[in-house]
Amino acid sequence: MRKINQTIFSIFCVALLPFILLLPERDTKQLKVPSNARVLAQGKAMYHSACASCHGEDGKGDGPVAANLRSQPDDLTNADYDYRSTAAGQLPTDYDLYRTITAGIHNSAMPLFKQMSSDDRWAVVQYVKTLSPKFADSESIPLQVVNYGHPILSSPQSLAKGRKIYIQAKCADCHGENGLGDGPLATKDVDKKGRQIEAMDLTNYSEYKYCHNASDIFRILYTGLSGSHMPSYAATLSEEERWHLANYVWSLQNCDQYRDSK
Amino acid sequence: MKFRNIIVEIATLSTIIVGLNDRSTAIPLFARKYNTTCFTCHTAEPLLNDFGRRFQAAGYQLPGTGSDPQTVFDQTTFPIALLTQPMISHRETTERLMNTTTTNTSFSGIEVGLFSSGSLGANFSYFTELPVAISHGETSIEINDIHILYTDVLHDGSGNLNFRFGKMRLFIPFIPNTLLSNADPLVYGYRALGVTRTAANDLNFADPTFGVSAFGMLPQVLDGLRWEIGATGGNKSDIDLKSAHAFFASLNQTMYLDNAPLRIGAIYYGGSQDVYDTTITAHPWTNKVSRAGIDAEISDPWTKRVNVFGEYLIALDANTNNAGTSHRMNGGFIGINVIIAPERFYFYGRYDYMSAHETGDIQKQIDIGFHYHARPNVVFIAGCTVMSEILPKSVDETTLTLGLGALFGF
Repeated sequence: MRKINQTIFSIFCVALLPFILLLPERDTKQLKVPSNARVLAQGKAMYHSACASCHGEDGKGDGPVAANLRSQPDDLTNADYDYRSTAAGQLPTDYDLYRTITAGIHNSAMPLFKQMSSDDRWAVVQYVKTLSPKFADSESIPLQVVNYGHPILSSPQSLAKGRKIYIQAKCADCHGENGLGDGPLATKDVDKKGRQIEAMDLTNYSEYKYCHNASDIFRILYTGLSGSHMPSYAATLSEEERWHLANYVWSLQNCDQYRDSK
Repeated sequence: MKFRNIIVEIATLSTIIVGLNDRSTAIPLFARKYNTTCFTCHTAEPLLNDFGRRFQAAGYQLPGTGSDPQTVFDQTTFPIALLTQPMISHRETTERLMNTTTTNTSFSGIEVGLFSSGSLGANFSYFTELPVAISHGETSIEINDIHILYTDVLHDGSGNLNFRFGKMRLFIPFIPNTLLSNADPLVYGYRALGVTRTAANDLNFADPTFGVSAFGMLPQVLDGLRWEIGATGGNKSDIDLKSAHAFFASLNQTMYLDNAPLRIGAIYYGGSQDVYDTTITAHPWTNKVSRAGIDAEISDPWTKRVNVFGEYLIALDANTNNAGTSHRMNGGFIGINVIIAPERFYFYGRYDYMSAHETGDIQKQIDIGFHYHARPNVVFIAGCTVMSEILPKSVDETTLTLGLGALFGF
């Protein structure tokens, strides 16, 4: 008898589904463009419910969840963002922040919030900027956004050049001879937050953060990663050299034959 | 039947092998869906962290995304996850009245939990848990949990009012399947014993039950105040019940001490069970059951890596044998979780105590152990449980259980 009751209840639940799905949905597209104060209030509310658990109510990166994580949430008050399209030492663009919220950061606890409405995501961007005084006078310093120039497609010749640059630029010191993240500096140094450097295993796509193709690697070679020892190579490598290096690094995931090519 | 068992076993082993592949970071469905790690929501599986609780309360969706979700109909793959936790355990029971000792070493067998969850539309989501057990060549599937959530009913983003209905676990503060310890808290499963020392009711209010509940946050009153009321069909499995129904209410307040969560709460569960036991009487009678408790949880505000939690519960079961007899129980537990290395190594410990007044039954339990995350979805578990039960003049035994196992999630 009990099983029959449970079965009937399960069928009842499933039968309700079509009716539930036919309920009218809220039209979020009819939202009016809010004033700046409303945007900030909207952003603050979203930040409180979606971001504060990790980044903390004040954005210091010390939320209740932070201690559980190996990779610590960014301290938003110093605006030291790893993932940007701007030159080393510069603030991110609004779109950089929007993109991070939208796409998340793979291989970290930062999930993708692409189901959050676009208005809400832009509101969070505006609110996050109020957490750091650096954004207050950011208008006065023009941002230098990465210039991709003339992309060079991957080829055996490009990969061979990239391998040479990889050695010359001392990438192997952290990432290891074969990109496995086992370079001599990888286990001896600490970053400016006092954490031991864990250089990325470039052969493992799962470890890539904010990186989906060689162009993204080119971007990181331009911007560097502010929260780590990964420097910007914008001044030390030419655009062409950075494209060869980006192609080589991206190839490490799949093309074993190029790893040791001289 | 045999063919189906072989298929299920091969599928299980294949997924385990795939999961152990060094390149793989396959992780269960929410982590896949949101391209994140398990630790976004879990301190260590299955223990939920602060964000995980918000995720759960938002209807198994990221907070702030309920109004425009990616539904299961939009997804290219059906959202399903597998969890399996094979364990080897050695048990030694010493019975002092009879002066006997028995030992037993066993393997839990392969039980795979199939989970599916996702959005059905704006503010609607579902959650299911279907355990598939393979034992002695037989495969069985249960419906452990299947419920639908309707979140943000007021459409104002406040989270004031949400509904869920179906077969589900009540939002008691320390749900057993979200604790690091595998040992069930004793007080949740307390059952009054009748004149023949058999269970006179059948209640474990930590188990899933059919029902409907309303819940939400009340930031207008206090930031972090959560409420829930529900009506359930009660629990019934072993004894013959004609019907059961119960009412559940809980109130829970979360505060933060330097971003370290501090929670206090209260719960009440009361109901009746219409029992039909022909060995006692030819007519059904009604048990009245009630449980009331308070709970608290605190994380240390300095390192935020030590979490202490506890609950105290009293029970009153009336008319348990159709003769007006009442039974009372009081007890509770206090536990600790320690993050030794984030996303890697954890220690847990819990002490349970339960005293049943009319029968004089006293149970005590200590459970300690470690979790080691070899990968986010591969966890090795070692635990030790010492359980002592004294029933005057009939039982005086201590059971030591040592367990070694692993938890795989795909």
